[in-house]
Amino acid sequence: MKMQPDDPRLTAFALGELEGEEHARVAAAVAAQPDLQAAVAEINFAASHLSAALAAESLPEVEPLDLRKPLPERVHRLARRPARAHLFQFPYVAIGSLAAACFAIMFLLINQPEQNNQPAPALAQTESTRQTLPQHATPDDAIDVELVDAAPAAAELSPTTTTLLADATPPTPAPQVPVPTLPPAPVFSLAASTPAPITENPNPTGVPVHQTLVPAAEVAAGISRDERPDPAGQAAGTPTEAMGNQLAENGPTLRRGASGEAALPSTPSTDGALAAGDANAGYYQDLLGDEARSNDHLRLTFREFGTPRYPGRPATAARPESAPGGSMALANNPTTPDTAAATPSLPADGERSRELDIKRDIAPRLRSHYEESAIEMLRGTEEQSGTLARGGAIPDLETQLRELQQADDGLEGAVHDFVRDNAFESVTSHPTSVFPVVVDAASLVNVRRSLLAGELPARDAVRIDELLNSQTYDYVPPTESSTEPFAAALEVASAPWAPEHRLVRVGLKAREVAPEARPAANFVLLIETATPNAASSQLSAIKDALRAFVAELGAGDKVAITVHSGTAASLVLPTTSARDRDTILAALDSVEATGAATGTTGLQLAYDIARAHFVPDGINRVIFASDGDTRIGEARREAAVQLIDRQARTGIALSALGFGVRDIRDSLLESIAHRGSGEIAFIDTPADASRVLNQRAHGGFTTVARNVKVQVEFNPARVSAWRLIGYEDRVFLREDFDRESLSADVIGAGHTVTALFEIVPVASASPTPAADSLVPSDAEMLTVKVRYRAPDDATLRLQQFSLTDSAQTFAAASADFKFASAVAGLGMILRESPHRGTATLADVASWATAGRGFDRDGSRAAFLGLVERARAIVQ
Amino acid sequence: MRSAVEQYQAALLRYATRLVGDADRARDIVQDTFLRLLSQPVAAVEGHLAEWLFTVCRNRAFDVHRKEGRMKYFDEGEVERVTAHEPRPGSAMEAAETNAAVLRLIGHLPHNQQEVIRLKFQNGFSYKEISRITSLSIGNVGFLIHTAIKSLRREWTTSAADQPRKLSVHP
Repeated sequence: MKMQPDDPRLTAFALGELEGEEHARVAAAVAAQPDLQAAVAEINFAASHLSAALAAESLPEVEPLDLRKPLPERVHRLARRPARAHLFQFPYVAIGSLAAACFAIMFLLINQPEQNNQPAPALAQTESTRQTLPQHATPDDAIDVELVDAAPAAAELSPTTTTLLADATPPTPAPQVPVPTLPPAPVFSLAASTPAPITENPNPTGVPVHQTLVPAAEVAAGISRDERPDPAGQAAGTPTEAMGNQLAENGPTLRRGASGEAALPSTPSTDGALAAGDANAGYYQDLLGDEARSNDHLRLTFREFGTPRYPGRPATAARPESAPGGSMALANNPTTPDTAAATPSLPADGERSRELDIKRDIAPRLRSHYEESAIEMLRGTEEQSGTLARGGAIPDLETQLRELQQADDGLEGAVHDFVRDNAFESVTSHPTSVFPVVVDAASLVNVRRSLLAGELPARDAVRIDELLNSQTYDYVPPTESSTEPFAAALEVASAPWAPEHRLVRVGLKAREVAPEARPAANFVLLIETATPNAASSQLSAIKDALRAFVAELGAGDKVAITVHSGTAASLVLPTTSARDRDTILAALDSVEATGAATGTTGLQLAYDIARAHFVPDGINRVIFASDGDTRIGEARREAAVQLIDRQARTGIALSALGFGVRDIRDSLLESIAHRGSGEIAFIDTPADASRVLNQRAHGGFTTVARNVKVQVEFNPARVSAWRLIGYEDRVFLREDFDRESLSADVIGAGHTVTALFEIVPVASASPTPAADSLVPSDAEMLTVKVRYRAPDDATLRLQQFSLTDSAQTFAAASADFKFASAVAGLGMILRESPHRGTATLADVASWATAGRGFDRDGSRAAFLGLVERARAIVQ
Repeated sequence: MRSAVEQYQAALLRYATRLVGDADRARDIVQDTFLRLLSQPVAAVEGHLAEWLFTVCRNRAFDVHRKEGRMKYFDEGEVERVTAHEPRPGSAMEAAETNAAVLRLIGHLPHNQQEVIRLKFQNGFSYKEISRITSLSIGNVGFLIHTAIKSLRREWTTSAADQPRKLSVHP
C-alpha cells in the first residue's frame, strides 16, 4: 500500500490509535517508505512537545466544591426541562417505568431479609408486587414523562424513582438502611420482567435489551456515536433530545454488545433463564460478594463457553433462585432455616463470622460503594437514618462524606478497601466461577514489608491470590507437539484446614517457546530511579539485571535505552541492533541517577521509540525498570495506565520491574499492578532478576494466546458448594469479562496461574433436589474451560480439562499442592478469614515444609522464613 | 466520589473555562457535573469515569450556551490569558519557554482543533473517547488532530531539523 505522508491515518498510527488490520497495513507502509518514517518521527516529536507543554500548563485554582446548596433545589432546576413525549420513545418509556418499578422491588428485597428473619412472607409479597407494579407504573403518564426527561441527567432519576417508591411500597416497613438500589435496578429488572419491550425494541443490533440497557447511563450522559460534523449542531439539542435521537437513530451505545462476543451464537433459552434467575440474586451478589458480583458472567459465560458441561442444570439452577428468595440469601444469611438446609456443611464458626460480616463488612461497603447514592436518596426522600441525619436537619454533603470516610477509616485503615472473603456459593445457583489469568505479586511486597518490620500486615493488604501466584510451581507445560497453548495442573485432596471439605488446585501453564523459535524483538529499556543516594544500589542492581538481559538477546533483536530521571526523559541509546552489544553495554554503564522522576514522560518517550521501530509480527515491548519509590499524582498515574492500556492494545507490551521495592503505595507500579495493564514483577535478588528477565529473553515474551478467559464449571452431582480462595477485590472482573480485548489477557510463553477452590462435596451434604432429580451423575467434579485466541488468529478457541475426585488425602498430595495450601493458609490466618477452619501458623509451617520440594529458586525457603516471622510476632 | 473530585476537578474546570470563557460559570458547570456523578450507578461510570465527566461537562456547557448565549469555545488568544507564567529555576526555564511557545501556537489553532488537541494531549483521551465526548466521528477527530499536528509541525520543521539526535522531553 502506497501512502502519502499527509495521511491522517499516519498521525493516528504514530499516536498509537490504530488497531488490528489497519494498524498492520499502515505499519507495513511505514516500514516500506522512508518518507513515512520521517513523518512518523516528526509527528512523535510534535506530540511529545504538545504533551509536555499541555501537561506543564498550570491547572486553575480549585476551590472546594460548593455542594452545600440544598440538593433538591438544584436537581429540580436541572430537571425542569420541557417534557417531550415522542412516539418513538415509547418502548423506552415503558422500559424506564419498569426499571423504576423493579427498583422498588429490589428495594423490598434488600430490606426484607434484614428486618426480619422470615423471608418467605416477604418474598410472597414481592412476588405479588412484581405482578402488579409494572401495570401500576406503565400507564402513569406523569411518571413516564418525568422518567424520560430525567434519564439524560441521572441526577434527576433519583427523586423520580423515590417518588415511585413511596407510591409503590406502603405495605413495607420504613427502610432502615438507606440502601440505594438505583444502580443495578435497570439491568436486573429488565432481565427479569420485560419480555414485551424487548420485542418492541427497535434496537438494530438484536442484542437483548438487558444488555443494551446496561450502558444506558452512558447514553443518558449524552455520549453519542453520531457523526455530526459540526459540534455546534450538537449544542443545539438538549440532552433529552440527544438521547432520543441517539436511541432512535443509532441504537444504544453498546459496551459489550459492540464486541464480537455479543455476536456469538447463543442459546436463547439458557440465556433468558439465567437472566431471569439472576435478577433477584444478582442484587444480593452486588452487595455481598465480589466474586458473586460477577453474576453478569453467568449469562455471558454460557454463551462464550458454549454448551454447559452439565446439561439441564442452568435452567434449574436459575429458576428456584428467584422463587425461594435468592440463594445468595442462603449463602449469606445463615439465620434462616432454609439456608441451613441448603448448605448444611458450612462450618459453624464460618457461619458466625459471616453473620458478623454483614454488619462489619457489608455496611461499610454499602457506604463506600454507594455513599453517593445513599446521600442522594436521603435528600430525595428526606428519609431519616440513624448516623446520617441529625435532628431532622440534613448535614451538608461534605460533612456527610467526611463522616462516612471516617467511619470507614476507623474500621480498617484507609489504604485498603475491602475485607470480606469470598463466601461459599451454592452450585445450584452459581454453577460456574471465573478467575483472572494474570495476577500480580504486589501483596507479597506488602506482607513481607510488614512482617519484616515486626508487625502483622493490615488484614486486607493480604491478598491470597497474589500470594499464591507470587510463588513458582512445577507445572508441566503442554508438550512440544501440542498445538494448544495451555496445560492444566488439576489436583484435589482434602482441605487441610477443614478435612471434610475438598481442596482443588487449578493450575494452568502456558506453552514454553524455545529461544531460537522466538520472533525478532524490539525492546526499549526505560530506567527510572528515585533519589540519587537511595537509588544508587538499586540502580546498579537494575544495570546488572539489564546487562545480563542484553547478553542473552539474539542477533535479530533491537534495543533502545531511555532514562527518566529528574524532570527529563532522555534517549541514552537510539534503537540499536543487539549484534552491537558493546555499544549497548557502554550506554547502559553510562546511565546515572539524577533524582526522582516526576511524571510519565519517560513512559511516553519509551513508547514513542518503540513505536518508531515497531516490528510487525515480532515482540515489541517496553521494559520499565524502577525502584518503585517514585510518587506521582493520581491523575498522572491514571494517564499513565491509560497510555499503557492503549499501547498494549496496539501491540506494544509493558513489563514493569520493581527493584528492591519497599512500598508500592501511590507509585506507578501500584497502578500498573492493580489495573493489570502490563505484567509486573518485583525483584529483590539477582536470582529474581534472572528468573524474570533472562528466562523471558529466551522466549517468554512470545505471546502464545490472547483474550484468555478461564471458567470453572462445577458438577452439581459432585459439588454442593464452592468457594474461590482469594481474588476478593477483583472488582474489575466483571468489566474484564465483558470486554473483548484486554491487554492483560495477552499470555506469554511459560506463564502460570494458580487458583484454589474449597469445595463442599455432595457426599457430605444432604443433596439438593436439583442435583438428585435433574442432573446425571457424572463422575467429574469440575471442568475447567479456557477460552482464548491464538496470537495470529481471530478464531475463538476452547480448551477443556476435567477433574475427577480420587479421594486423595492431603498427606498424599503433591509438593506443589501442599505448598499452595500453606500459602493460602498463611493468607487466611493473616486475613483472619472466617474460612480458615483449624489452620494455625504451626500447621502452615508444617504444610510448607512438607511441600518445599525442590525449591529451585529459593522462594519456598523465603516463604518459610515469612511464616516464622509471623509466628514470632504472634507469640 | 471524593477522589473523583480531587482527580478531575481542576482538569474539568480548565476544560469548562475554555468552553464558556468564564471561570464562575465553568465552576457551576463542573459542580453540576459532579452532582450528576453522585447519582450515577458505580457500574455506569466504572472504567470510563474521565470520559463520562468530560462528556457531561461538555453537554452542560452547551446547555449554558444555549440558554445564555455566552459560549466562547476556545477563543483564539485564550491561552495567554489563562496560562500562568511562573518563573522556574535552572534549566527548567528553557523548557517553560518552549512550553509557553507551544501553548501560544495551540492558542492560534481553530477552536475545534484546540479542543481535540487538548483532550488528546492534555487529558490523555484516545480518539475513540474523544469521539464520544465531542460527538464527532472518529475519522473527524483523527482529521482534526492530524491537521493540527501538521500545522504545528510546519512551525517546527526548521528548528526540529537542527535538534541533536538526543531527544529531551520535559514534563
